[in-house]
Amino acid sequence: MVEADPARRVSLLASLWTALRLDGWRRVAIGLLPLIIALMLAFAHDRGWTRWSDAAAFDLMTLETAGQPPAVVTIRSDPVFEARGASRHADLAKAALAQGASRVAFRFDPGLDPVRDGIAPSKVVVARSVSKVPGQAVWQLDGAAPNPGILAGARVVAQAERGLHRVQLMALPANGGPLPVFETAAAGREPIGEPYWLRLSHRQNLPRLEASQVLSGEAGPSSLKGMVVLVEPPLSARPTTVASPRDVPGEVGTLSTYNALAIQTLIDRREVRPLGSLQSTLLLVVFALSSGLIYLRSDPKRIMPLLLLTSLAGIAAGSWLALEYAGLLLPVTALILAQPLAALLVLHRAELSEDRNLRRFVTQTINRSSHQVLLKDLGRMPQYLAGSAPGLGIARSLLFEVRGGRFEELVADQSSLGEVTADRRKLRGLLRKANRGTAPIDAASLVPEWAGTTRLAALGPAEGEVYWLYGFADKHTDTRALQAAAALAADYRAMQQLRADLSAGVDRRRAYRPADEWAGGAVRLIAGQGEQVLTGLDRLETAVMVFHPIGFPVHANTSMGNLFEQLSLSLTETTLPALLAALTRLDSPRIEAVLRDLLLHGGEMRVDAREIDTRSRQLRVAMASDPASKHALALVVEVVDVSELRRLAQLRLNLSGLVDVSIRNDLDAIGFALASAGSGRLDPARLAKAHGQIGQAVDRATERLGALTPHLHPVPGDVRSECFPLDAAAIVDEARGRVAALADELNVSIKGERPALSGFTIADPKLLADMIEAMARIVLADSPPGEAIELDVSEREGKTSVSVAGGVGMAFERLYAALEAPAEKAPGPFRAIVEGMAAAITWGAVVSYSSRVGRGYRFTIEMRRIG
Amino acid sequence: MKQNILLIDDDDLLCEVLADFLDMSGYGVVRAANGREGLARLDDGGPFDLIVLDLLMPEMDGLRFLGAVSDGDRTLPPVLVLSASATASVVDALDFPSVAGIVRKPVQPAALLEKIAALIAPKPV
Repeated sequence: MVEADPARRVSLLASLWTALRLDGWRRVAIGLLPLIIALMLAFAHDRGWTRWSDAAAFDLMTLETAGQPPAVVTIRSDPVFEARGASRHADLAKAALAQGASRVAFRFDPGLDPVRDGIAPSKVVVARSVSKVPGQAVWQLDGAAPNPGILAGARVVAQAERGLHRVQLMALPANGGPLPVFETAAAGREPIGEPYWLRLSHRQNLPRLEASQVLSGEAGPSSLKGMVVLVEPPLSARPTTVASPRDVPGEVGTLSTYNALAIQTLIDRREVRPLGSLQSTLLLVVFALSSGLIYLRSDPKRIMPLLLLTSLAGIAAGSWLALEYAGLLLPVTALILAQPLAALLVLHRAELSEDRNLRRFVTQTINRSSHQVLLKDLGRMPQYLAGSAPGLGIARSLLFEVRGGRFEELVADQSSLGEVTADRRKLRGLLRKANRGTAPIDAASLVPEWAGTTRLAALGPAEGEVYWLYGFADKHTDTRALQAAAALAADYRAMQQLRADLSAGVDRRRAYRPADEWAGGAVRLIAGQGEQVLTGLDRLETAVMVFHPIGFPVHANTSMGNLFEQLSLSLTETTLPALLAALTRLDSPRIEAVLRDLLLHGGEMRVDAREIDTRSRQLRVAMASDPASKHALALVVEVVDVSELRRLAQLRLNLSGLVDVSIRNDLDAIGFALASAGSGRLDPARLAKAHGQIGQAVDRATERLGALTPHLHPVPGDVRSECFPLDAAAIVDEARGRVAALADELNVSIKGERPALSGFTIADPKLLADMIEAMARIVLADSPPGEAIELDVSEREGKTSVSVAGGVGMAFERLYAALEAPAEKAPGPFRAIVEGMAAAITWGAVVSYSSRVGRGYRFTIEMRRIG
Repeated sequence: MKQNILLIDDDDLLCEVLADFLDMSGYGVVRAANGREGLARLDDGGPFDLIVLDLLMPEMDGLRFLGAVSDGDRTLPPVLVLSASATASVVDALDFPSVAGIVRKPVQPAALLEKIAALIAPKPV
């Protein structure tokens, strides 16, 4: 006996448990679906609803199978036989038995008496008609009881199924025990058991003889050995016919053939019986559970075709084996149907589940999008819409709400509620009309004093019904402007609808659709692309913010969030025009014009941003539109840091300026020296001098060009720590600008000398500006209110000095300690000075400092001046 | 008698060459390396018939020099600005009565002489 490995058993159980709880009860439910199908089919099978198709399967499996050695021979009456006397049937029986027949079965009752006719008892079977005992569920033979030694069988055929006979009874209930039917008695079988299915093989050999042949011994002495002789009725009797699958679609067969096949089947003990109800149910349940487990452990969609084919082949093989070796007819139809039905249900269930998951995902995405949409207070929507309206060229705008028959003004721009409620009847008529459709309607009649084009749009339910009355100044308004306004109204309406749906707990699926619309672009951008877009935006180095065309903020990435912090703006409440005003130097009319152009015509706009945090930035505002409808989806604001590009541009500008100035001087020197030399008025000594001057000028120009060459092809990153010719006075101005706010705050003024025209000084502009700013901050912070600090620039031959001086001052030792510490340990603004001092050496510059309490600070940066 | 020109330019080589050229052309030339030196030469008495002035110079640039000489009661000779940095914005800043002409470097020697001659001895109206 093989002992199961306990570890393996535990593993299998664990695996089964894992399978059962895979993805929770939903998957278990999917796995149990086949079981439900099995129980339903078992019920149908039990009720006989599948019997016809089972019979068809049975026919398929039996009609063409090989026959068994013949065990029945049919004896047909013939005229010679008929002409013999009354003892002909007894003679026939005796002759047949003498030739070895095991039994002689008359399909009629010839009235034989074994004692009288000298026939061995129990060797003759006769068919007798039967009738039901009145008032009882039992049967009895018609007529007198048969003579002793004669076996009588009931001449009865089981009810046809859809006109075809393939089933026969074993016995009929009778008083005193079961009454065998004729075939049972003829085959010598006990009259017990359920009705059986006959094998009606075309290939079954059924020998036939004429009665005279038997009587004459023509077939030989042992020709009937062991066989049952089935004697047909006399020729005068009309042959009884019976239809069986064997005869379809050919002629209807005789009852004699049917009897012979039944007897043959019973003698061979190859009768077939359907599997019992309980067994069928159990079989279907096991089948279904195994399918369910397979579905649980695999992807139903992927495995279904293979499983269907495999199970079909298994059913065919199993059914044939059961039929051949156990005489059992399996519930073939139910088994065959179980798989596709279960598969369909599993798929359907899986699809529903996926739909539900999708809806949940979408809902979550929408909720997340709504959460991520920076606009938290949807009640502010009217303000946003009204704020965006001028951008479309809308001159007058009125948002109002009708709640319980009362009108309430929400936002009015160049309009008032009083203007429209004067004629209530007309107003209500227009409101009804606006509510019927989705497009804004002409409302010029409502406010005739509004010149131009006037529209009324229903914006959907909030507390009450919200409407937007808006007017363009021009009577022939640009179609694009009208369409853009209608699109905004549609977005607004969809958003209100979503809000109402979500508040009312409406089916999420319904809520999804408007969300897809209201999100229009910005939210669709996020809901559709999900995390990718958000992550993508957040990973961008540039600051990006997305606005809905209505005007509310949808998303800002981290960089933009930082920028908002620096600008002290609210991410959730800042409108696009407000952001543009904060970031650029554009005035309101210009901002409106820019946004209008973007909304109506698309494209993008670039403008320099104000300087924030000493960085140069460029603002790019672009409209993302639906490629199909051209409907505005979102307005994207991108703030690009162009400091490095600016530095590069500045470097090139400075270099070209230096080259320009220097070469002009050199060319002038060459030109004048040549003029002198060529005048013919110079003595040899002065002529030689002029020639020398020409040579010097050429050498100097060449040297300058050579020194500039390395600076001609830098890329943005390379400029970061590079020094180049710059306008020192401009850098000082920049640093002065940076500390201006602090100076104002401390009430300390900044004085300073600087050249009107500054030459070229070698330095790193960023480090220099940072260093001067840090020096100025230290001195400013140390200055009493009302005092002044000095911020001077002076240029001497080959030197440019920048000095920052003032304040109360500190002990030199302390200043020294702060400035000679490593940069990372230097406190506050001292760090920029320490970094600048280290870098200054590479420019050929020297930074010096002094301080004394009561005399203040003095920082000096001495740099190379090259022209 | 030679007419005197005060030549103020920080470019030594150019200053020397130009001085030689003007000297050869018959003018007396006094050189100064920047605005501050130019003021000193003026204070030394001159007198000068023309000042040829560069703009971009250390110590005291051309604009500061013009501002300084315009503040006092000094009677100034005409000033001819000869500069490589005479851009539009700089020209706008040269709003001084003494500035009689602006020439951008490089200049043709003959054209410069013509200009100087016109400024020093203007044709009678």
